[in-house]
Amino acid sequence: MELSKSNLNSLSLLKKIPKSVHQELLSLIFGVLLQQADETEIEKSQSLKQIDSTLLKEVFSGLITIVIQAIKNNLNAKSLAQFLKDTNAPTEFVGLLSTAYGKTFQKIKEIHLETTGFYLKKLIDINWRMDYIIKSNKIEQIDKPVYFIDLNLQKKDGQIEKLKFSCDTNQLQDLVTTLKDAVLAKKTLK
Amino acid sequence: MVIIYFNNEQKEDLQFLQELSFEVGSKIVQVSIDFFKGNYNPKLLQNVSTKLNLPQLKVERCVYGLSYLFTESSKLSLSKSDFLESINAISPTKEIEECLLESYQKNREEMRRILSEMSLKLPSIDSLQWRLDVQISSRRTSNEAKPVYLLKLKTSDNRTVWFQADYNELESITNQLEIALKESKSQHYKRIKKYIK
Repeated sequence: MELSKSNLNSLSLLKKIPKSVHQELLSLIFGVLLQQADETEIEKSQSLKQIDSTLLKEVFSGLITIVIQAIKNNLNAKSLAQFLKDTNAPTEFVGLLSTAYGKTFQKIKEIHLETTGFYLKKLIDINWRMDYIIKSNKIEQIDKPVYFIDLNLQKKDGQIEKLKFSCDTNQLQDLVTTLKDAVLAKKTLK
Repeated sequence: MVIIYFNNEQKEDLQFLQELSFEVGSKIVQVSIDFFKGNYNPKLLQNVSTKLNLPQLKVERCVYGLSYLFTESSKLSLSKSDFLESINAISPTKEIEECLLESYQKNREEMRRILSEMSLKLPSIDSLQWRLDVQISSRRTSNEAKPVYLLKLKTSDNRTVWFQADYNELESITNQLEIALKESKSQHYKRIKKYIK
């Protein structure tokens, strides 16, 4: 895993922050990543308020970047600890960080990273209806069944688009056969 | 027994056929069939009328009248006797009667097909193509192995829709559609079909 110089620098800057505050700092960082807290926590904490804001900002952003990069590269707590040891970060801190990381990285991954990929509209639901056509104003004695299919597609922002179409029995049969092939393809994969 | 009714105007237009020889009459019937199938060409009408030495307006109205006859009879799917009964109203000669009946019977299926194309309906499905991919990484995540289906649906109004689905969703959709298909073979459907007929 690669980190920029400024990020690595933030680790050495940790030495300027009193040890007693480290745990609180970590709680803040992971709280923000888990979306359970935000930066206003800094105001509420006596000890964090006392730290020089520029320093705090740098350390805070550096550590957040490190955690996110670690998740992206799929590091587990051990590999993260190993990586950090090589960067001369304070040993005790490394231990605290890796422990917290180990407990929370799955959750953070779910919250942040898997929802920011781009994708096409996603198929989420289907509705169908079967009718029997008797006649119309143009032609009588039709006497045929028809299916109305309604697919629900969800865009990335959560909006749902409906895709409606009709088909007769033969077309539906073809559709079902095609879909069955598709489902079978996955089964042979795993 | 279903019969077509002609109003007086239409009767007059079609009775024009009586005045014509068989050859001429059958030519006009042919023109009106082509007209129905979509090959309407005003110039053709003009040529036909000058070639046959007939007033163009009369020929034109006769063609319209015949189109009405064929449209209605195809729409109602008239039997042979009903068709003959209907054209009795314009009292055609025996030969013209036979010519009309033959044209009707020969072209009925195609005319019904054209009529159903013109009827009210939702766009229908043309094709569905699928592809199975495995998502490996993206800008923000790496080292994953998520199977994902890519689908392309084409409908008859020339719309193409791309979308993706995961395996579970696709499986549940397939099951739903299978249930839908089974409905067409169910007892309930067969009963309704019988009662409507």
